Amino acid sequence: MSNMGATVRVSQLVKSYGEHVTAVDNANFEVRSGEFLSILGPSGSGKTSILMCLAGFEVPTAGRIHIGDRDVTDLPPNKREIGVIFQKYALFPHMTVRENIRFPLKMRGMTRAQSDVVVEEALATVRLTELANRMPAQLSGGQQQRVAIARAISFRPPLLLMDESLSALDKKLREEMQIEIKELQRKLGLTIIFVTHDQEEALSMSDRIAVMSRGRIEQIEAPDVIYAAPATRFVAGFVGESSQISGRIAGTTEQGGVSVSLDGGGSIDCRTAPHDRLEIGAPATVYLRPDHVTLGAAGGPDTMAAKILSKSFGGSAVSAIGELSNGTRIAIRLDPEEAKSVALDDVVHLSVQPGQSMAFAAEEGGR
Amino acid sequence: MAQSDRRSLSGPLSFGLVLPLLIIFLFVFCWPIIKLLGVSLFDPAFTLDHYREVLGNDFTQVIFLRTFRVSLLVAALALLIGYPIANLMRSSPPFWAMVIGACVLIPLWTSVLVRSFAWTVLLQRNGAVNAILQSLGITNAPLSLLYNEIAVIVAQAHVMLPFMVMPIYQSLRAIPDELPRAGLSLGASNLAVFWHIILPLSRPGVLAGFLMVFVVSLGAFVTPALIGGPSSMMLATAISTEITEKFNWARGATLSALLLIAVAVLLLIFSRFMQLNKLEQK
Repeated sequence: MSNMGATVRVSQLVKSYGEHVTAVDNANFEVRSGEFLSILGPSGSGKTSILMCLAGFEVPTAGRIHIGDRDVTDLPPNKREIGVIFQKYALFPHMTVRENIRFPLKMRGMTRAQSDVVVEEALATVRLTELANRMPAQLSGGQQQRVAIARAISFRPPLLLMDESLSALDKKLREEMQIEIKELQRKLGLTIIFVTHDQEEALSMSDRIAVMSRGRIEQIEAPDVIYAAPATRFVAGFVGESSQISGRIAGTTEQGGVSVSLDGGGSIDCRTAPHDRLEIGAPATVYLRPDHVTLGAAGGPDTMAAKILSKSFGGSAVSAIGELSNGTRIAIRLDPEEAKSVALDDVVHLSVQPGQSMAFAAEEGGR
Repeated sequence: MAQSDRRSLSGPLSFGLVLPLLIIFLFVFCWPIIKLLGVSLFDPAFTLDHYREVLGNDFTQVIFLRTFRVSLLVAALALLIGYPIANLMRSSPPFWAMVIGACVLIPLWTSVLVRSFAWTVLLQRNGAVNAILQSLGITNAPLSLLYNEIAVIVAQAHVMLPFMVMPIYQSLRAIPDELPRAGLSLGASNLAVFWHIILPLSRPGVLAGFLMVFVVSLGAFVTPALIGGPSSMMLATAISTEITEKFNWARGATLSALLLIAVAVLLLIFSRFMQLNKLEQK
């Protein structure tokens, strides 16, 4: 049970509603065969509009969509051969699990005998053979999700679209389903485009992530690149935890980055995004990840004095918030042993790993 | 527990609020019906003679059969016309759905009498329908379209249309958009989506509308009396004739009781059917 996933090419896709609302603004991307691409963004960023255009439920205002060698832009959804898994699963409530999974096969004119084999195989794939005769309402959320997956893959589409499909499940179940979906994808060689607002989900499951904001794709890269080298200020702020510190560009570093002197005193050596223009003396914002901050000795290089405002225990680490002398707040991660030596209202010295944080030109109007 | 307490009124208070309605219901609905049943069963001592006579009488048998046949056809015709209207409302943008809904409901504000008379105007020998048929050359002489069963069925279906459209529309609207979309994404044509998804899921609305139209038509008086002739007399008209013209209260009461029993049996069967339906969907 293996088939080749399709390549997907989206070129100059625009979707507007009326004259004033542009949900998708010139999206261009390609998805490789067998790739898991997440489209990540806050609500209203246009990610669902892209998915709806791919599935054929919305007609693009401009642009073309190719799946494999076919230009599907003008094809109706029932001719696209795409498996779609909806946010609320969209199981047919008046059909049993088996009838639900048989539905796409029946629509393709398969006889009962032919489809029986395929249905049993799909049921086995998602481990639901015993529940085949239940009605959807008799299943738990996770089981319904698995039926939706089985139904969407039973007709062997080369492309699977998932619309926030895991958001209705609780955390533990969601993590189990993430693993199951990844296994299934590897086994079937499926191309998956997964729309989500949950960055952890996107980071853990994807081969690549397209981060969207206000209808535009800000960056499309592998998760580790998105996290370590965000291309825009939006990506830096949206993906992963970071504290924003304002300062001015003081000079360039040997590694090709910039040195930012912070408004509250001290300086940090930062990397910059390729297209960001940063001139010496210009205002800049440093996106500092908690991973790059450690407790250090007073007076060392790249250190800042901060007053501890809060500590919260989180299992393997303790999250703390420190306040710089100018009121800027910084998220810090301490290991539990270290955390014991730090009390609330203590002033500690924070050492920042040089060359790890990103600096972007400050927003127009400054912050 | 606490939540339900906050939402509902205390027992005695809610009973007090319902009491006036209960009294009215008991005196103007239950009491007359019990009296009526009494009239049909006591003459003056207990007897089943009236029932024996009515059920054995060819004339009343024909009227009963005709009433059921006409009501079934009315419900079927209303379904045939009403379902597409409800479906159009569902697939229209909200504004147009409202306009169509208004067009369906506004006739309810005019009396059944007026709507039935409108049909007599349309269908009479020199009425609009005959004029159109003649001008199109379909017939030479005016047809007698009034005072027959078909005229009753058409007019009654029109009068009952809102009661068919509304429950169907409600059940269609309860179908989430994702379901037809899922159907399309799985390769179903629009027709297949309608046949396999929309239609079965709207069954509760269809059943409710059908039953409502059927049951109300069984006891309909105004439209059959105005549009139907003596040869297409229905039960309600017959009951009225027995009581107001022949002063045969016992016979009128017996016919009424039989109609009541028939409706009760139908409702019982229907509620069973709906329960099975619900179990199936669970």
